[in-house]
Amino acid sequence: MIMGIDIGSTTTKMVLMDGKNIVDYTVKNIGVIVEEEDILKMVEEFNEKYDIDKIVATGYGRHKISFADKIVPEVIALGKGANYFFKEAEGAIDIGGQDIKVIKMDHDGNVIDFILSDKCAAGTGKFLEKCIDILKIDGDLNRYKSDNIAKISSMCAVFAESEIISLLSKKTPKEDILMGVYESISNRIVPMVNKMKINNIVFSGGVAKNSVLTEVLENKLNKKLLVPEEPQIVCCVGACLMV
Amino acid sequence: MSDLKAMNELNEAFANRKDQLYKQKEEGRKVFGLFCSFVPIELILAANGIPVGLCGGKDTTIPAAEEDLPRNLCPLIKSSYGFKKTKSCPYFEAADIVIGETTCDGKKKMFELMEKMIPMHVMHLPHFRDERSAKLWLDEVKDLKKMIEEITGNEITEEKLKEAIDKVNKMRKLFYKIYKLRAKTPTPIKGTEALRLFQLAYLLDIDTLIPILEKLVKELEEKVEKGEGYEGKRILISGCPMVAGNTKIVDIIEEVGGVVVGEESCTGTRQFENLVEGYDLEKLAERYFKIPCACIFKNDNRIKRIKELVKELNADGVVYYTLQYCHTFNVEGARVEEELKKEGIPIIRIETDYSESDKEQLKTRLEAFIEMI
Ligand code: SF4
Ligand code: SF4
Repeated sequence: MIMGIDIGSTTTKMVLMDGKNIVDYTVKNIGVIVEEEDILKMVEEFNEKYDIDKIVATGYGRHKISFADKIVPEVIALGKGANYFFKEAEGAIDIGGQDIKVIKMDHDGNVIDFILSDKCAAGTGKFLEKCIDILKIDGDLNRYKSDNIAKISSMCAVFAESEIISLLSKKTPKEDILMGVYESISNRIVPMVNKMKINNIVFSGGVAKNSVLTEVLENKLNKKLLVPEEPQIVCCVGACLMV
Repeated sequence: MSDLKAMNELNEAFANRKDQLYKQKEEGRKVFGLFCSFVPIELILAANGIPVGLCGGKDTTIPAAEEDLPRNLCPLIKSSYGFKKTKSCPYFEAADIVIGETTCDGKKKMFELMEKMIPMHVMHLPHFRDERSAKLWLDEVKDLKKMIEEITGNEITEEKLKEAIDKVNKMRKLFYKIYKLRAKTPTPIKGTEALRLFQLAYLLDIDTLIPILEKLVKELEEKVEKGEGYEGKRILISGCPMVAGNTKIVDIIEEVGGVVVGEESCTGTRQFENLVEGYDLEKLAERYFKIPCACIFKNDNRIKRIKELVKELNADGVVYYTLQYCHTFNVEGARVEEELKKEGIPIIRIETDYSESDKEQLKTRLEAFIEMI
């Protein structure tokens, strides 16, 4: 069996495939700071149950896995993974912890073009996390929805923080502010997608679990997005397929 | 240590350059600091002056610069200014005068502040490519000549000018030869080494540099004959200059499996393309007027040239490199991207500064790009 390991900036994903089907997987909330030993332990746990033949690594921390048989860039893995879940896909959006990736691919999942956001954190998973922290919201994000969108004009994570604080002090409802945050994230992503001119877009990464944000994004793009049941493992599956 | 003897010699020459320069200064020769490839160095050499490229390729001097300059300004400008402000570059300290040019707005305005620290002569670089501008440029070159004669106390005679033009042309031809050799597969020199060569060429004495280039050409020819060299996805870099201290992108490209075979840049082709075809000021001005920098309005020649270079160098793809806040190269990048894509040439645009903070992100991008093409 093939194991894919995707070490992102905030999460580590492992997927086990028998060449065609996903046999098992795990998503752990520890990212690039994870030690090689800990990864090895996780691999061992899998190995007790299954026979691992080969390991393919991807993600920011991919070079940490010295025992991998192959290392692949996550942009390329994303294409393969998106194609695995949706044959009709022509592109994918991946909101990661540190950056946003938008890719365009052919019908075999080969990436033909891509853009990544630059070093600014606006619109990334980290940005969303930070905003949620300030809002002190916990539990299921999908419970918070509103038609009154509070305007957050700054895309910069640092300035957005002070905007949110000032909105809170004006007693703006949290769900309104959160909608504003989604707007701001979408505003960063939409031009990237439009520039690529793609249809049938897969939405991957942890943020894709947020159905309210997905809806905001869909409205802005005027397109339905294809969201896999477990959007966090798309790249990891792609890596498996690249053995 | 390089496997090329000439490269080791180059490094050694650089190690001795500082002392040599100060000795030349003691002998009464004047040092002219430059920031741009538009400055005709032939005039400086003809007056027995010494041109040195004042680089600003490191972020260490940026905090000091940001005390005076805005933070959102190109790192090259900030770094350069910072070097003078903190007096941390021996070449800058050796300069008697700095020759600036009205290229981009950031530089232009920075020169006004720099003037308080060192004498400046600023050339008016016209941004149009028409006859009127060509005339203006010629006048600027004439003014430059006068200024150089005054500072050095030496007259630039026809004969001296001819000698200097021949010498610089000779250097340019050698660079051309190196480019031809880099076009071979495998390419006989790594991009990281080629970049170092271009960077140091701005600082070394031309009489030291020429024999080193000659040796290098020979060594590279031998390597090509034996079929030795570097393989990988062949990359042409295009865009902002990568001045000494800044090697980030080339390092990353070659780390992730690419090999840089050319650079359409002021630390590359713009440094040596086109020869001076005659021995008067008109011909001299003409050569510099052809430089396809992004600060030129309707700069179609540059785009044409990039396409040609891709073919000449057998490049698999183009990494379009801009420094953060460099509007000219960045905006022109949109046109370059569109035109190259039309021809099916893979291109990736990268915007970055001198910091290390985005290294991993850049690695991800460049690795994926190289995998993809
Ligand atoms: S890029 Fe343009 S402005 Fe900068 S050094 Fe080169 S010619 Fe001069
Ligand atoms: S890199 Fe761009 S902004 Fe910086 S000095 Fe050169 S032209 Fe100006």
